Order: sequence, then structure tokens, then C-alpha cells
Amino acid sequence: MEDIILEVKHICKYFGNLTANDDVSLRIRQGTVHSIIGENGAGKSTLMNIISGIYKPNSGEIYVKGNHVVFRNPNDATKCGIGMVHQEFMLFPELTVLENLMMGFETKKFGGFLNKKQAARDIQDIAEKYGFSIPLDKKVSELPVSLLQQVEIVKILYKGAEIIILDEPTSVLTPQGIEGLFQAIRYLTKQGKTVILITHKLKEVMEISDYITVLKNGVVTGNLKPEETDEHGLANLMVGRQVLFNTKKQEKEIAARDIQDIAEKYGFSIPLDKKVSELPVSLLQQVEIVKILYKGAEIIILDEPTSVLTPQGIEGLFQAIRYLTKQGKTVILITHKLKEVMEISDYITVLKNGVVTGNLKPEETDEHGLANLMVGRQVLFNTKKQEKEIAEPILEVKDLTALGSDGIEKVKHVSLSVRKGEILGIAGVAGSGQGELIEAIFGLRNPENGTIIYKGEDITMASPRKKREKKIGYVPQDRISTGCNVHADLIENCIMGYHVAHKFKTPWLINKEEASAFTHSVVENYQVKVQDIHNKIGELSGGNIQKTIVGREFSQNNDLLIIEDPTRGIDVGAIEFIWQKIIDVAQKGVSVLLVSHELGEVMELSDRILVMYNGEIAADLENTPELDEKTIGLYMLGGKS
Amino acid sequence: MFQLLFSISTLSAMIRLSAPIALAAVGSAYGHKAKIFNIGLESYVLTSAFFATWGSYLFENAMMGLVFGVVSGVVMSAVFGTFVLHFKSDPIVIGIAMNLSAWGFTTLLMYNIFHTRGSVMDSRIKSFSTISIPLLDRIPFIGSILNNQNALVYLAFLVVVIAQIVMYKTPFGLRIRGVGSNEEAMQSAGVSVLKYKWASLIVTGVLAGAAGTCLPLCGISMFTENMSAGKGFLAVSAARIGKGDPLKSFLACLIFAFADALSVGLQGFSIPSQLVLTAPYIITVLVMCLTNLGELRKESV
Repeated sequence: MEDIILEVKHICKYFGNLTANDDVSLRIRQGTVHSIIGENGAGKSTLMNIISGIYKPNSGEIYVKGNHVVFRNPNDATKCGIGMVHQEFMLFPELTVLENLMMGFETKKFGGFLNKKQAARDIQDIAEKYGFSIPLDKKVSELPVSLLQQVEIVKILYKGAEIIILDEPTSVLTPQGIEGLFQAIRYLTKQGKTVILITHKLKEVMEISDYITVLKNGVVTGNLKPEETDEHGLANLMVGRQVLFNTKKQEKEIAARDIQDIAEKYGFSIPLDKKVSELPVSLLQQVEIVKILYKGAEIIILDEPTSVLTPQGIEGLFQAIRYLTKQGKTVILITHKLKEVMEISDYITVLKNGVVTGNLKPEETDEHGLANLMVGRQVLFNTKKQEKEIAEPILEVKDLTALGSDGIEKVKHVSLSVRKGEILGIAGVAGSGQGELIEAIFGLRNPENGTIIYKGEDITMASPRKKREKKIGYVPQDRISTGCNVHADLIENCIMGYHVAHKFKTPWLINKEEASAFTHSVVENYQVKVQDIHNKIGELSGGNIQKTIVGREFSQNNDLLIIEDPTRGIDVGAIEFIWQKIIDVAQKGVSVLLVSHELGEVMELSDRILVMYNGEIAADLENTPELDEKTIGLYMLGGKS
Repeated sequence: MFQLLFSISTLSAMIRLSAPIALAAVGSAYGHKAKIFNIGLESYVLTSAFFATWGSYLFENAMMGLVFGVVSGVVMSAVFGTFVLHFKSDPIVIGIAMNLSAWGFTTLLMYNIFHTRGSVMDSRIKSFSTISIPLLDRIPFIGSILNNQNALVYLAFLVVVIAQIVMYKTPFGLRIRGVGSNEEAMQSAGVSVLKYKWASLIVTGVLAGAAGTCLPLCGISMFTENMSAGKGFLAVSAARIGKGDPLKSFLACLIFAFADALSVGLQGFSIPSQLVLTAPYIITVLVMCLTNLGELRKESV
């Protein structure tokens, strides 16, 4: 058993009425990677800020190597060997890497001058020891993100950190960068350092962690090892969808026998002694079904049972449902997945706006028929992979060339076209010119060369306002600095960019009622969690800010949406939600130009994928099921041409 | 006329006139690096010019004038800092308020203490003397430009060199630059942002005080109403042109001082004197434009 290097006991932290951490206890073992996971707002960052001395807890204690410590400021934590790499890097862009590393811990000579040579030697030794290589004389603003992260890690190592806290380190990295980071983490722990990883990417958690702690609403909901669980189990602990299953102790044994009988009768096999938190999602559903059978149910209502299941899980569930009905039970299935309805149902009732619009059998109809009944009008039934060749292009970019902010050509003779109702994904390693391309298309950057044709009209030099008037919407990559005004309230942010182009305006003043009505609709339709629409948007969590921005752009009847990294750094629930909205608008015939640095996102959503490499389109691929990440990855790195 | 441009007298005047602007500009450079926009510098210079005159008058000693000037500069900085750093006031508003009130304030004090209007001249006001540096006078041309300048002029040169070293070679300078670059990172490095913002303000105050002292005590031994006459503004411009680098800011000061010196010489020609007197300010605008041309090109949108 490894030594416990850090222990926090019963930490509570409140911000006003909000409980950020409620009785959180944690043990971190030396030389391990300990992941702290949870949705946004679960209290991960608060906990880490307490451990690194930025916040003071309202109650609770921290022990480092068995000694009780009280941190008055970050320096105290540093002295105890705790260093944190923040999600937003704590670096000085105008200063050199060496100066950055020295800041606050200056090596001196002649009683007051900076001893840069000595510091550089010390840092180089540390960097070599832990396998990093960073250029000390370059300015931080000149380095790529992945190197900045190394700089941050070397910085805290240089300050003597034993415990390294990484806050969402992978959100800014390419797949290769992540691999490199993980190697570095493994190397660090081998050398006896301890790494605390804060993230909400479950895949990475499963890959790198020795121990996992799950936080939800400020409370620890699980302490486990990766081999004891899987991604679904973790997701459940984070989101907390499953219901806890409790029976009284004294009745336990009898109950166990009864339950086992029931389970066997209906063909389920569930482990009764395991904690629910340890079970995969598909088993949890069986638990739920057995639970209601045990309570003597004759009619079993399943509310959207397939939304949390894998394809295998769905097959298993359907078998169970068939078996139940054979035994004389009745099953009511609530779903909006038409394929499943057609597969499993004996009878179908369609509801629309609270009214029954149809009562039929599956053999009397098909998916289109059902969809019509549900939506109430004839709709084009598009699944994602369906061909949309008939549609004419809405946006055509021809031979576009644009310079980056440093005057270097970042977009080189790019031509592309987006068709009506199509989701065109652009993949590529960060800095391949996607950002500049989008800015040039939306009018934030003047192209050097080329034309942009939208609905048959040349809009190459049109300003963003003109483009908004022509129904082009834009969800920028950086929601904080470009997407919204953090100091303005929700109403102002919701009409931002549309205050002129679309209504919201009496002849001279803003039409307050119209604006707040619109804001209310955005908040409602996009499930923005906010107490009052007069609150400042900066007070919301990242996911909610993003939902607001997406809501603003999606609710304006735009014909073309330009979307950049719509789900960067937000939690699983919000990602799912935004993805669904993107698919929904495309279904309605809106064209989407999607740029994302998450390859998974591009592959999940796009009809067609362009891969950018070094400012050029390296590949134009139909997003068929055969297309795999490796092929795209190769294009992203310039491996094919 | 061309001869006038680079004549010994013009260049020598340039060196002499650059001293007050350079001192204030180096002070402003420290503020610039710490990201404090201190438009109130003009009021520092004017106020300390008055107090330097008074100190010199009271003690009949130029050194005491410098002490008075520096202290009043620091007090002005303290006022500015209290409002901006603690009451979170807008630095531009505070700066403008201080500039406008400094004129009235010094004129009022002048009337109450010296019982005169317009200007103060008194034999008890002692100036710093000129210094002759051995060997320097042997160098032709350069020697006659640089030698026999006022003690404060040499002090200003010394300050520029020291400021440059402190800014780039000491932990203090590193932290000042850090504060201006990223305050959050500063906090996470365990350095107090407030402390170093105050430190930069104090440096600004001390140097602006010395700059103010240059005006009455560099030979003329008199104080006149609104004596600073925009020198503080020029210093702020110089610091911004030099992007907070003391040496570069000093070079910008030399350009302004040259224009200033030239305007004195050009008054002998048949050019309208008003036009000549605007030369330093027109040059400010031109220099600002030229130094920013490169960036304008980069950010062409």
C-alpha cells in the first residue's frame, strides 16, 4: 500500500447560499494518479483551490504527509509541495519562459540581481529529469499550447512540488499532445510524484488513473479504481440518474431470496450484493425493472429506457421486454426513437401537444408515417448518414487565402461548399488554419484572396453585421471573450448581434419586452440554468454560457450557422444537449459549418468532413460508418495528401 | 536653417530639455509595465515643480528643493493610488481631475505663500549648478554638447541607466513586468499584485517629483503658473511609445526635446511662433503613428 501523502477531511465550503463542497474527504496516495471527476459545478475546482491554498474552507482539515496544515495563501501550499496547473494557464505572455519560471522564486546574485544562468541550469536539470524539453529564451506568447502546459508543469516542479494538480489539462491538447501528457504523467508518478487530475473526460480517466473520486453537487459519490467500473458507471455517479436501491437490513435476506426468484423467473441476472455504483448502466436498468416486479407490478412503464444504453444493452432490454410480455406482464414504452418503436411494439399511440394524433400497429405504418404524426406535417425524414445530394450549395468559398495575426499565410487557397441542411465538419490539429478560415468567412478577418458566395451573392467583404442580416449565425470558439459580454446580463447577451438585424428595437431604443421574451424562450428551450435573466452571464457556468450562446444563434431563423468548438470544456450533459440541437437544426434545413478540435465531435455530427492541414484542405470525406479516427488523424498530421 | 537643426546649441538644448521629460517618462514606464494608465503625471510634475521651488526657497538649498519635489511627487502618487487601487476609481477620471486641480492648487499656493501672481522669482530660490566633467570637454562636438550641463541632467541619465537595469535584471523589475502581464498568474506565484502596483506608483511619484524639480531648479530659479506646460503628457506619451522600456522611452524623450529645442531656435525665423511652439506636440502624434504602423498592418481588419 502506498503512503498517503495528502488527506483532506470533512471539507465544507460555501459561497453565499451555494454549497460548493459538502463534507468532502479524500485520501491521495503517493506516486499515484488520482482523478477527480464530476460535472461542471460539482465542486472539483473549488476543492482543488482549497488544496492549493487559493480558497479557505469553511470547515475541515488538510493533512500533508500526516501533518495538519493550514494554508493562508498559495505560497503556503507551495511550501508543502502542492502545485497546481490551472485550466487557464497562469503565465505571462510578454515574458520569456525563464522569467515566467523564476517569477516569485527568483534566484539572486550580488545581493539583488536576477541570477538567470543559475536558474536556467536548475530548470534545465529538472526538465531533463522528468523528460520535458522547453525553450527557456522564447517568449511565452510564441509557444504552442502543448508546450505551455509543459512550462506550467516544470514551473511547479521547479518550486519543489510533490503533488501536482492538473485542472482539465487535456481540453487544450491535440490527441498527440494528450498522449505526450499522459506519458509525462506516468513518468512523474514513477519518480514518486503524485498527480491529481481534474477532468470530465471519462475515457481519459479510465486510461490514466490509479484512483478515481467522483464528485456530484459538492458531495463525494464514489471512490473507486478504474478496474472496478467502466465509463457508464462513472457517468452515472457523476450525473446521478439512477435511483438508489435500499432495503431494510433485517428483511434483507428474505428479500434477497424473493428478488432472486423474480429475477430468475423473468430471465434477469443481477448481482444483489454489489453496490449500485459499481454496476454498468444496462444492469442498473434490470435492477429497476426487477424492483418494480418485486413490488408486484403488472404494468411496467419504461420512460426512455434506451437513451442511456449501448446497442448491446438495447438488444438485451428488448429481449427482457419480450420475455415479460410472454409472462403476461404489460409494458408501456415511452420513447422517441422510431426504429425501436417499430421493432418492439404491438400497439403505438402517438401524442402531439397533449393530443392523441394516432393509434396504430407497427405493421400499418412506417417511420415516416410516425414522424408525420409526431410533428404534424410532412417532413423530410433525414437520418444523419442519409444522402442529401439534391440540396443546392448555400455557401461557396472559392480559393480563399487569409493571413494570420502574425502576417503569415494561415489559409491557403481553400475552396469548400456547404449545402442546404448539411453539417460540414472541419477537423484538424489546432492551428491548422481553421480559426482564420472561419474568421475570414464570417468577416472578422479580411481575406487576401478569394471569394465567398452565399445564396448566389458575393459576400466576401461584407461585415459581420451584414452577414447576420443575411441570416448567418456564428458560435465562436472562445465563449468568454468573443461569444458574450461577461459583464452584461442575460438579456443583453441574448440579443447581442441581433439587436439591429432582427427586431428587438423600437425606432430608437431597445424593445425591452421583446428582448426579455426572447431571452426567456432561449433560457427555456436551451435549459439554461439561471435564477433571473437580469443576472450577469459571467456568473453562469461554462456550459450554461455556451447553451445561452448556442440558443441565441440557433433561435434566429438563421440559414447558415458557423460553429466553432461548441462543446469545449463543458460537461457531458451539456455536450449531449448541444449536439442534439445541432442535429435538430440541420434536420430543419439549416446548414452548419462546424469546426472542432475534438475529432469525436466532428465525426459524431458531420455529414461530410474536411480535414485541414497547414492551411489547406487535406481531405474531403463523406462521413460513412467505415470512416475511422485513424484515417482522419493521418490526414490531420499531413500523412496523406 | 539646416545648420540650426544640428548646431551645438540646439543639440545641447535638447539634452538640457530632455532631462525633466526623461525622468517623468522613466517613472511612467514603470507604471506602464505594471498596467497603470497614469494620465495624472502632468499634475505630479507641476505640483512637485512648485514644492521644489518652495523647498529651495525655505532652506535656500537646491537639494532641499529636490527633497520637497520628490516627496510631493510621492504624495500625488499616493492620492492617485488610493483612489485607483483601493476605491477602484477610473484612472483616467482621477488623472484628469488631478491635472485640472493641480493648476489651480499651485496657483493658489503661490498667491498665499509668495503673494504674487504669474510667477515667483526670489534670490532665496537656489538652483542646481552645472557640472564640468573632466576629460569630456576634450572630445570635440560631443563634449561641447554633453559637458557643462546641470547636475539634474546627469542625474536623469543615471536614472535611465539604473531604471533599465532594475527593470530587466532584478526580481523587482521582473515582478513589475509580471503584474502588468497577468495578475492572476502573479497571485498564483504567491506575489502580491497590490504591493507591486503600489511600488510602481511610488517609483513613478519619485521620478515625476525629480522631473518637476528640474523645471524651476535647473538654472532659471523661478516658478511660473502652469510651469509643466504638458511635459507630463509628453512623458506619458514617451513611455507608451517605448512600451514601458526605460531606454526606448528615453529615446522618445530625446525626439520631443529636440523638437522643443528646435522651436526655440526657429523663433528667430519668419515662421509664426504659435506654429513653432506646436512642433513638439505634432511630433508626438507623428512618432506615435510611426511606431504603431507595424502593428496597424498586422491587425488589418
